Amino acid sequence: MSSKGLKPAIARPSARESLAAADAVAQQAGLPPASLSPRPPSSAPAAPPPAPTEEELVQVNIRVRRALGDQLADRARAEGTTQKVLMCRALAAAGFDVHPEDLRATPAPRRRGSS
Amino acid sequence: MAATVLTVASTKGGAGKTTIVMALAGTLAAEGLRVAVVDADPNRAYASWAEQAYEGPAIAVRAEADEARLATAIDELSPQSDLVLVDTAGFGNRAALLAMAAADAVLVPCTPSRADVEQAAKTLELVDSAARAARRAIPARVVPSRLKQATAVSRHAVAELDAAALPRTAAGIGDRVAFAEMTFSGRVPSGGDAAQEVAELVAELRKLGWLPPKPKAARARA
Ligand SMILES: Nc1ncnc2c1ncn2[C@@H]1O[C@H](COP(=O)(O)OP(=O)(O)OP(=O)(O)O)[C@@H](O)[C@H]1O
Ligand SMILES: [Mg+2]
Repeated sequence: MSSKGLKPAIARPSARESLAAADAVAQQAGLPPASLSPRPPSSAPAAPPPAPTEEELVQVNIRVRRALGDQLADRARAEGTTQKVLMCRALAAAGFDVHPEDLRATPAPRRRGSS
Repeated sequence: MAATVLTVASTKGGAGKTTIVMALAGTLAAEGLRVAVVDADPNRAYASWAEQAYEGPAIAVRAEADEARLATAIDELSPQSDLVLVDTAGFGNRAALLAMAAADAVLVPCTPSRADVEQAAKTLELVDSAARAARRAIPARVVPSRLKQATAVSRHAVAELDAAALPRTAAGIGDRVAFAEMTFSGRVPSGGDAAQEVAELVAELRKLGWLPPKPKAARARA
């Protein structure tokens, strides 16, 4: 095995250094770059940070082949989450700007008597 | 001195990342180490467990899924902690990359399934890329996770890790009721086989220099 033991970290890499490294890898991997500022630098007047505002909800229905539908259902069950969350994660990983609430499974209303 | 930063990552969902973070954080806090956990998963599985269920010595918890704020959180927690554990989301996102780039070492949990072994290899490649970009060594090892005791599948998966020459810890985490229960009870196993496995993992990580030394008995908290 090739991993070496660590020297105790004398100086930790700075946040900026880590972000630059993550940025380089994100670009190779096709993910949008990491940025130190929460907003992408832009010459346009700074837009307010994407605060978790109440955004309008829209319905997106998709039809896929059965094999993928089955995989989604199985995975969602195994992870105790929803198919929507699984799809939103994949979209986030592909660089889409996904609202944090869309990455969270809304707890199913708890029925009395069920555990 | 700055804390050790240990990131737990895998591009595969459900590999056991959060479970390992819960077990390591609770066990090491009980030893008396000053432990901080940064939850970089937008689902906040660790953070909500820490708020609602965890019972044990204090652990500093921050939830930051934005990579810039995550970097700052690690920096801020580091001076006041012995160990900063970072739990990441089970899909390759920017926060997970940052958590790798900022780490002293990375653990990659991997369950006994072909898909997991493949994803573990991918995760290790990401760590390598982060290390190259950061121009420093970021050692990483696979931690065999959710092993079914002495089953052919588990043995096969571990053999596959070795065949693929993926570096792994000798200590593995079994698929145990005690770990599943911990997510409800908030209590980290302190006896029995589950605790023994965590202790073996801790001992191995210490040998690698990936965890701070055990504090003197005086500081250990019940
Ligand atoms: N060693 C174990 N023994 C028993 N159950 C486990 C073990 N590890 C994980 N689990 C269970 O498997 C499920 C997924 O585990 P966990 O949440 O730790 O994975 P994860 O890698 O953090 O997932 P995600 O990628 O979604 O964040 C949980 O229900 C957890 O209780
Ligand atoms: Mg998790």
